[in-house]
Amino acid sequence: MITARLQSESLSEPGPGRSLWQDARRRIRQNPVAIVSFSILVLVGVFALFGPIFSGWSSEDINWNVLGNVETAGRPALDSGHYFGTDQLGRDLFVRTAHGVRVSLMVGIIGALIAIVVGTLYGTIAGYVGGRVDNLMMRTVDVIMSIPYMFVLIILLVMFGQSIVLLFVGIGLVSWLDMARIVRGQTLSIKNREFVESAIVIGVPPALIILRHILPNLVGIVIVYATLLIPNMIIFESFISFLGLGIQEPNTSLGVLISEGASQMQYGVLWQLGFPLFFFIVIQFGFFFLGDGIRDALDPKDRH
Amino acid sequence: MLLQIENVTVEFSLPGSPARGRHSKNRLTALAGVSFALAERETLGIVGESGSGKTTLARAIVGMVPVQEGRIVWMGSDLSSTNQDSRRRIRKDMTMIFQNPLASLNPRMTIGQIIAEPCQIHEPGVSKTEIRRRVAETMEWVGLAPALANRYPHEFSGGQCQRIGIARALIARPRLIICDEPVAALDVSIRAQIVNLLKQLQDEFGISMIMISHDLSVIRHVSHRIMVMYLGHVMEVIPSRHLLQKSCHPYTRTLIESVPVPDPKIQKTRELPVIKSDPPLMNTPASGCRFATRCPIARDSCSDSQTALLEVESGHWLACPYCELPPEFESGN
Repeated sequence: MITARLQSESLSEPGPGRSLWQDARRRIRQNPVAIVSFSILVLVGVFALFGPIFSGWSSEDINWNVLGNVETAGRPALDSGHYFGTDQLGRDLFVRTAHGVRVSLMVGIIGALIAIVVGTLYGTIAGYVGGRVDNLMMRTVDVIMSIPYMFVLIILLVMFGQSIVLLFVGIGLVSWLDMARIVRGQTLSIKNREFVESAIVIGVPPALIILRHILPNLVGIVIVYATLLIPNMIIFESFISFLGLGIQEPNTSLGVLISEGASQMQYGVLWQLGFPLFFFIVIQFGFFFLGDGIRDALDPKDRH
Repeated sequence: MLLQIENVTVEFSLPGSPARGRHSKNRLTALAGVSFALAERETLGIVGESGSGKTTLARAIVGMVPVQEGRIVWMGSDLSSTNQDSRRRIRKDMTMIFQNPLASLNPRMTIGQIIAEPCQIHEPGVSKTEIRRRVAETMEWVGLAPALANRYPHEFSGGQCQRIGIARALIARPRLIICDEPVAALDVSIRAQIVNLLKQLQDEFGISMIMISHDLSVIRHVSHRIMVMYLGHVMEVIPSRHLLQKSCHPYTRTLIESVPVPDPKIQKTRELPVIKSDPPLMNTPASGCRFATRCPIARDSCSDSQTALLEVESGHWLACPYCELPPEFESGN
């Protein structure tokens, strides 16, 4: 037996090592911007889920005392119970904003999930198989991308009537395209790394190579892109809703609330625009900075 | 014979060539009719400068590059005609160690998982405890503490990563290990350790090896025979104990003389080998000897006709009809 000459460094102590994930977690904890963004997003989430419990009003109740006198009776106040005031119909804006945030976050997260599942699978297969299959799959993506989807979706919504299902179909159709491209590019570069070659030489079957060697190395970029995709999806939904084609009454979303608030701006009820807009902006910045932080944590080489 | 390479030719078509016909200008011949045989327990060293086809040859043997012509015969069966199943079985017996130690390890797997992978693929029935025992055993062979199995590759140094690569190659008990520049990316101080480790393991387990390097001293240390390649052609094959004294191909001599002397005084004053220009582009077709454009003893006829690889002495093959075989006495080198 060969006498093992063990390296007497700190390495020789037993126990589990630090995985790249643990390293990333440690680095993100040292990034104040990312931590603050994350905390704010959690607070916004708690507000969206549990906020309505602390209000005496429901999102559909109309406060008849306020109606017709919204500028004075409906302004934000603690004693009336309307913390964020009321909208033009005398409905409590605090509860409605919480509902709007909930719907908007759901739209963003569902869009990102579709992108993660469909886009990642599509991209890895195209990138790993390569050749003609790759060409066919990616040209299909190009063709779908070249369709002015906003236009098509608006026509569909007008033709078939507004429905939340159709909105999700629209978001699902477009959200995975960019992800598929990014993942394919990344797969192409991972495919030529030596550890994939060595797996091929060992005789690992292709499906297992994708699962064990390529996907785990893609997770970082997929997570980063997904966090950056959520605000885009929220903007997408808000835009459709702003046009009056998205979420239907009495349901609401941030886009609907902002649209209604904007139409009432000149009547001295600026809080109707202010509160939804505040949450919209906070969510946008939160996800962007969080995504940035995750990217820095996963790829320390890119940090300045 | 464990492995026989017969007249293997590998060509790549360069991008932007509409006519993918043979002999067109846009084809690059990486290997041109290379033949050799490898016996059990033998180590063959392959040297040559960059672009000489060393790595392509290794990749052709493990089946990662399609072979246009010729045969690769593994223990009597032609590899080009084997189906997927037997190809997978052969992959258990034939494995490879890569040039860049860290890049050849998946950063998201622990080294225990990395080393165990060939075992899991080739022996699916083996229990987890047995695999863990074998991983620990293999790690000890290559000089790694088994307690480190839960660590990740980025926590190790280059030399240790190469040990992990060697352990992964060893665990399935292969018959042939192809080492593609195993020490090129390592510090000089670590090189000797890794080279000696490979040599030790080979003696112990009776594995055949193909050792690719551009470093003559490494090659000479581990190999039984040395094959010198230039632009996809074999220039000379010689037993390594005769390399310094008996090699006579002008290209081999140039390689030997280019090895720096670790004494600045001698290095400054000694005469460096005369070698003209850079190697020619590989896609320019040449009719005669590929080395003729840079050869110090080239004659007009050299660029006309293909030079055949002939056995000038037992075990010494040479692709140059004009160079003089050195006399029998030991020349001072």
